[in-house]
Amino acid sequence: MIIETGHYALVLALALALAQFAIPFIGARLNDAALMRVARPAAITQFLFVALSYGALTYAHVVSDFSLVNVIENSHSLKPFIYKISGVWGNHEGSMLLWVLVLSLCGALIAIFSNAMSDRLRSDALAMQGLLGAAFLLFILLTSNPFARVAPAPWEGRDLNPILQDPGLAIHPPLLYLGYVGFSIVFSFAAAALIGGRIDAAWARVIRPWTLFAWIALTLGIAMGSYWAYYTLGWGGFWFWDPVENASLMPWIAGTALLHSAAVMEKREALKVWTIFLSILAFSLSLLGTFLVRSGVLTSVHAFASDPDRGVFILAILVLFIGGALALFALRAGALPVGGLFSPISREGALVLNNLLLSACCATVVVGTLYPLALEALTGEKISVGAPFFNTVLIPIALPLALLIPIGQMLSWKRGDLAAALQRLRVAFIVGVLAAAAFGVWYGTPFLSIVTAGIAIYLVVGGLSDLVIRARGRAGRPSFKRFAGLPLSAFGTSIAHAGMGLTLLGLAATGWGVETIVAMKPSSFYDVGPYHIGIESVSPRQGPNYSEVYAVMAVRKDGATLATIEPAKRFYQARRMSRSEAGIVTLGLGQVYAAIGESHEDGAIDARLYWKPLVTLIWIGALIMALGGALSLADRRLRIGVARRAAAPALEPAE
Amino acid sequence: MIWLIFALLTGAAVMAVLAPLAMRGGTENESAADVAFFEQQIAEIERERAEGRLDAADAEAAKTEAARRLLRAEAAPKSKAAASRRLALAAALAAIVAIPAIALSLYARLGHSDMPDMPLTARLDSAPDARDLAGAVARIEQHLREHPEDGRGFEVIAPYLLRTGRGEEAIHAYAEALRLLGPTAARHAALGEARVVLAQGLVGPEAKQDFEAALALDPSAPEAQYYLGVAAAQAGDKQKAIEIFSKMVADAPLDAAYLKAVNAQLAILRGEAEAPIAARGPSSAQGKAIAAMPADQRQAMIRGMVARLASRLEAKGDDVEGWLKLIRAYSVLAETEKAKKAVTDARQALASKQDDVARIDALAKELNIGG
Repeated sequence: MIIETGHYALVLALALALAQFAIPFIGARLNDAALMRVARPAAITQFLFVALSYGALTYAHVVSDFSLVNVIENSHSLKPFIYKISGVWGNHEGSMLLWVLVLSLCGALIAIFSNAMSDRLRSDALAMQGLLGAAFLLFILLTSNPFARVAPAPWEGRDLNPILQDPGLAIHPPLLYLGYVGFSIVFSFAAAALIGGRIDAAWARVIRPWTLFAWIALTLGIAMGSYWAYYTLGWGGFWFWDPVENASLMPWIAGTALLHSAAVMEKREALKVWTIFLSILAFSLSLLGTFLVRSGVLTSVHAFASDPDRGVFILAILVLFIGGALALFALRAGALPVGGLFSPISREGALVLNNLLLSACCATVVVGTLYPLALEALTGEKISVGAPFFNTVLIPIALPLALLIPIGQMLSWKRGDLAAALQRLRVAFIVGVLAAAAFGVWYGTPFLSIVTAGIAIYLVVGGLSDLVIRARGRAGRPSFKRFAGLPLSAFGTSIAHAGMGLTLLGLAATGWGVETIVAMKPSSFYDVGPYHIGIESVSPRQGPNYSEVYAVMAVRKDGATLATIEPAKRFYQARRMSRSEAGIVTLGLGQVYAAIGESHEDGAIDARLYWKPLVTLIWIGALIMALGGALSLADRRLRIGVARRAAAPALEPAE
Repeated sequence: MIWLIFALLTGAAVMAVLAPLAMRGGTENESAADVAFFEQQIAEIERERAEGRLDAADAEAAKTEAARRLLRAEAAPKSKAAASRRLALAAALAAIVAIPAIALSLYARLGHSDMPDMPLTARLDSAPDARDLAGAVARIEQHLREHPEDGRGFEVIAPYLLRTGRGEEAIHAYAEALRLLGPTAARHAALGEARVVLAQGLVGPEAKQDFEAALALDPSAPEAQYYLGVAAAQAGDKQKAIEIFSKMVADAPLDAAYLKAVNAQLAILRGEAEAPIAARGPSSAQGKAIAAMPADQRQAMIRGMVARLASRLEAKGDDVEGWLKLIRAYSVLAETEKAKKAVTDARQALASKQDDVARIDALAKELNIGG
């Protein structure tokens, strides 16, 4: 009864989503207050129905109700409880339902937090959100129904894909979806502004927190996913330029650009049209990512669907929304008012440059992801575009971008003084160059790593020195009172940029990593970077729904054992699949990483051993970036960009 | 009962639309939100100045700018949105008709209002259906998880587990039965046989110990003798194997079911019969053991072998022969999905070798699996 109630709630949510679209949309066109008022309760109720439905599916997974095809195919009665819950979104149908749950949650959030805007803007935005919801609910019900049932029900399920049985799965997709779908809010507002033909004054103020919210979630989701790939896939890589990973990177880059242009728009009323365009782009790329992953166009760990009906359906949704929004943009953008003016050397100018560079990065990823697909579709030839392409194209764009970040931070609004900005950054420059020299002496080549590490340190110092300079004020002496009085958003900016620097440092350090593949014999030690690793024992062990062979390895340095790690190879009975479980220990900021393979008759075991200096900074940096975003989000003051008059002594960048 | 819930939910959905339509009153004009926004902004500038974050000149400049925009917003044409009763009525009627109509018609196509929830524990506790073997086994397994000292239960489900391809669990069950119920020749032999099945017909040292233990309890135990004979043949000790099998034939009652298998082994050992072609080379004994098994057991075992091959290729994918074998195997087992996946995996794993990829593609085409 619970299950069929959940199923019916899902169907009702579709009906409500259609009402949420049609009635307020007509109301906004006819300027009718009563019709527009329907938008808010409809959005909230729609969310409640989807949540009810999602709850019912979760219940079915938890109690192992094998009358549902979805539960049979992705669960097992012995699966640990947490994976019964996370297994709900570890498959195509469930993850689409989660997608729609987050989408309807975003709709409900708009409905609740939208007092400071005109009825028409809110109604149009919620109508768009309703249309999106209806399209995806229809997709779920017609092609991927998680509530499909069978009789008679079998007694055991086929278990969840072992790679997905990991705490990583419990966090990664929900965060990623909050990010992807969070951009739907911005998209709906952009579409609403275009449909209504006017941009409210509060538009940018409404956009920025939602963009930040989506961006934070996406940052954390991507970082989580990359760490998960790092420790489960067993060869120590954290980013493979897999199209599915690129699918999450594209909206992230577009979102980062949007974040910055929305800041310009909120403070200076400039870049309005461009911000609207980016709003459409960020969500369009999310949709594209969903299409790539969900249609089965790609064969990868992530693509559990391989049904052409689904692909065609999602493609239709894609064409409808992206095409519709871009057409609307082409028709209406010209009619929108243009915002304030600024000189090229100014905070606005720097942010425009940032946007251009980020757009170039984004275009690179889009091309690198779609080109092989297009080529295969047209000629049948299979090529893979991987790290060499992306590294060659992205590094020359990303490094100058990193150099520009602190400079932009130092420029003031409307008219800036480049020489003064560089002057303020001299400490950061010097520290960066010294750091590069130190890294060069300590780790040696490759040259690219040394340069990148220097830029990374410059970025960290430059980002943070903005705070110090501001705390100094015009008096020239740093004061703690001024420092503590700085707005949260200033801390947010500096901390997020410093986080970017740390991530960059972690990435640079991959060049200094050490890798060995050996057949390890018991009681002999193998060198990996500064450490020696030896096997103490290899034995079998039984887990709840798998059996494994695990090795106990000692990590030594200068004769002292620093840690023991337990890499394992697991075999999952129900799916007859194996996966490796890496043994990882964090030493300083670096990690020793070991994965085992086949055992030999003489007691030796194949192993891959890695020493990855500073690798944890990649994810620590991402966490810090998200923290910066959260600080900025917490600052709910109105943002005011003070324009400097040319005559005023430009000593202090204004917030 | 369930339809009552559906009715309540439908009612709630319709009410969510009707309630706002029933409310009276229009809204503020469109520029009101803008005016409010700029007023807030001016207040904010004032506050920042009071807190000393903005100096007077900057605050003045910012305020002038905001005030200019405020004036523009206030001067905008004021078009209040009214609420028309006629429109609201039309929308309400549409909602009352359309929401239930869409929900019910779609649910009628997709839903199963007659199917109750079936949580596994409740099903296990309910009265068993005598024809449902899988259900009975699931119940016993559940029972064994709660009472792991019940050797009878292990003994009952072990053969079933072995037949359904759950070899390692079967060995565990046989071993538990042996431990809990005490040793007999039959239990030792059954455990050994399960090991042989799992080892794809190879009689390994552990299995050999089992069979020897069985013979110690009952020197005439036929399974134990037979597999020890096979072990001798696999070890290359033809003489000993022939000795064991001949003795079995001599001692056996004339109608013994195992005589056929024993005679077949003897024929091969004496060179009177060819080993099956597929089982030539080092795996000949294995092939024979598979061929001699009952059909369902054989099937389970072949699946086990295929799974092992698949996991080996997953770990080390540069073996084109292995991939071809795997793809063929899946296609023979009619596992089209897996075959397709194997084709794609193989293409990926062999991407650097054009010739090998071509062979994979040719096979995929031959077997008509796109991949």
